[in-house]
Amino acid sequence: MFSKILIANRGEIAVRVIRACRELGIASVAVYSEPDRRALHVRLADEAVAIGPAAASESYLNIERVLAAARAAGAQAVHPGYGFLAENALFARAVAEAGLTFIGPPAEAIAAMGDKAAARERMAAAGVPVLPGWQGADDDATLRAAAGEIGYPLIVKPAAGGGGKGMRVVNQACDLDEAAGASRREAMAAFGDARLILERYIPHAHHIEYQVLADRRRVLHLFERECSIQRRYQKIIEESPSPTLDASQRACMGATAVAAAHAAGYSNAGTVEFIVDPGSGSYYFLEMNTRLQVEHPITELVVGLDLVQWQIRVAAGEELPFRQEDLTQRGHAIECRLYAEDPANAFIPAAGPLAHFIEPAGPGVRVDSGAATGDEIPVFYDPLIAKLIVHAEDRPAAIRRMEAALGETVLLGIPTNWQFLRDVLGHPDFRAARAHTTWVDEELAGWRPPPCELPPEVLAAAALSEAQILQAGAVAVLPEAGTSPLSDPYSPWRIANGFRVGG
Amino acid sequence: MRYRYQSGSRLYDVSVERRHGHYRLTIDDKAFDVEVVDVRPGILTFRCIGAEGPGHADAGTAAPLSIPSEHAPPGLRDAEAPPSHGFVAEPGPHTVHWSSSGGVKWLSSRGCSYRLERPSPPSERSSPPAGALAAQGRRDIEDSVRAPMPALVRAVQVAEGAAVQPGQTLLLLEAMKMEIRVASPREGIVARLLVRPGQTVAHGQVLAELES
Repeated sequence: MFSKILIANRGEIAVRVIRACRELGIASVAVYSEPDRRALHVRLADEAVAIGPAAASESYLNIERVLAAARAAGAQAVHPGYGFLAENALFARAVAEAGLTFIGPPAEAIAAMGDKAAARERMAAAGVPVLPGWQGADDDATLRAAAGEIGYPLIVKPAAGGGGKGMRVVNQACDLDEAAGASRREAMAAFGDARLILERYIPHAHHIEYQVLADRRRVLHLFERECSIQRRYQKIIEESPSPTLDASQRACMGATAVAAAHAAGYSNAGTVEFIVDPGSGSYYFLEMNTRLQVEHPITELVVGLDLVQWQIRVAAGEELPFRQEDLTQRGHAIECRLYAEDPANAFIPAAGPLAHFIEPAGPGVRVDSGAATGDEIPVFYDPLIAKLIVHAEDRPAAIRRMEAALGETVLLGIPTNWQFLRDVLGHPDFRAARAHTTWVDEELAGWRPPPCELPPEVLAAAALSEAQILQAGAVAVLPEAGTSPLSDPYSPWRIANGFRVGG
Repeated sequence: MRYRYQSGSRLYDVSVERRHGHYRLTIDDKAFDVEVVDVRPGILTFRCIGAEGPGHADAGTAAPLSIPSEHAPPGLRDAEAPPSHGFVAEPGPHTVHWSSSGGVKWLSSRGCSYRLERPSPPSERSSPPAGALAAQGRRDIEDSVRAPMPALVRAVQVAEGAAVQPGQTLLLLEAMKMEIRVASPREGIVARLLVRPGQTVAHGQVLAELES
């Protein structure tokens, strides 16, 4: 087993990996960019190494600097988290060449699955169902002919892509050239690779993905996650098990996921994503994510395994001590992603001080946070603040638990999608599991926060919280029982970490 | 003590008076007697021990006023009246979380979040005539190109003195790995460029000024 691991990431996922290291008795090394020098992952890690300025290209995405930090700290392995360098085959290779262990799949598997055109071919050859589609040399004439064969609607995707970037749905033939042109430009700008693929587009499909976990010999699946609640291809709420699969579909898709991972030459944790046609129930390979997913906690809760610890143990050469038959799904788990963004204003990402953050607690409530009260949400990176994850006996109980957890969450100082999440959870379509991948974009397109007449207690609290009021009056008014707030070092007028009291 | 808060376009005047053992809060034309139960960093717990004003029967300042919402008289359900639920009707203490940053106060109560601004009271500044203010506002909208969100300036695509068309790209910003194009709102001349590539800008910060 390793004695020291460097975590090449930031935010909640860096915190998650640090905690796994701590439980395994492994020292953790954080890396940080200039604006993150006081971030939660830096404070929690055993060591922290500065790797550059704010721009990710000069810090978290910079392979040389991350490796230099690993060498300087004497780490034996590197955990990439998700995002940044996690699906960069060059990075996985560079880590190995530096004599360190990459905690993830082999570089060849990352490269094979990172190219959507090559992945489609490899999956089709392995008998994994792929969407009717096309990959190849994409001049306009060839593309038009291929599109005619697939039929419309279809989707244009960058071959090198991921995360929805550059993807376009085309409903009719005369829109193809323009969509392909725009896709190529975006693909070139984002990935330095303008190649495209085409796939049949299935409207109102469900997104169901399978967690796989493999040691060097065997691939197991840890069942599915339903991730249909998305906004412009970005997942917002995930749950496990999927409320839309029956037992035979579940087993069949699980076997396909294992076959897909075998075909990719996979080891460690990964995810096989499928699109499910709501009409026929047929499923198709979408892509394979060769890393830990943001939404991995719902699988951990339902299956009862610590995925990050198993990633580390498998990377260290351990074999998985359980078999597929040993794994079952227990209860129901839901994850909500709390983002610093303004849902009333086109979901523009927000940044700024997290002035007051109280996490929910209680049985079956888990919070994976990347920031705490007093932290700054920097403008430079993904605006995910925290993931709220609940586990309960069944789906209705899990929804109730999530609603209670959201209600208990206090998050002040920046706009967040908190109210939006509550409205999705409360929507009859969500309750009935009718929501599909474009449901949020179609059904909640004009979403506005509910109009709020200010209740008197809020104005009362605003005025009472003005520093001079409580300073002048607290002694006379406060009850004598308990601690006296005035002698308390945590008195409200002493808070000075990044924001002023009493404005 | 008097405070003025703004939420959206609505202004609220709140005054706080210390009475014997409690505070009297006057919010617009309604009075609430409030007992502070507990004070912690960013957390206030208090209880309403009486209320009076339009929509309320005169309530003795010592006796808790309790109107269960299902039994509330019809008048209390009017838009004008204060909500018939909430801390006025609550027998137990009520907790509000709060934080301040600059002139903005954030509060969370009963699972809802609120953002209040504290405009400077009119007495503290010489108030320009409404017409002048409106004219300045209009000029501001037409002449200033502002950052739509906190971002990093990636590129500046025009020079000072350049003539620009509506929709023409002036700057490229980057935030959360997205590129944001900042376009000219109208035809005009770039009078001033106020940012450089590599600079971080705040939401609403003026990036460039246009003139006719």
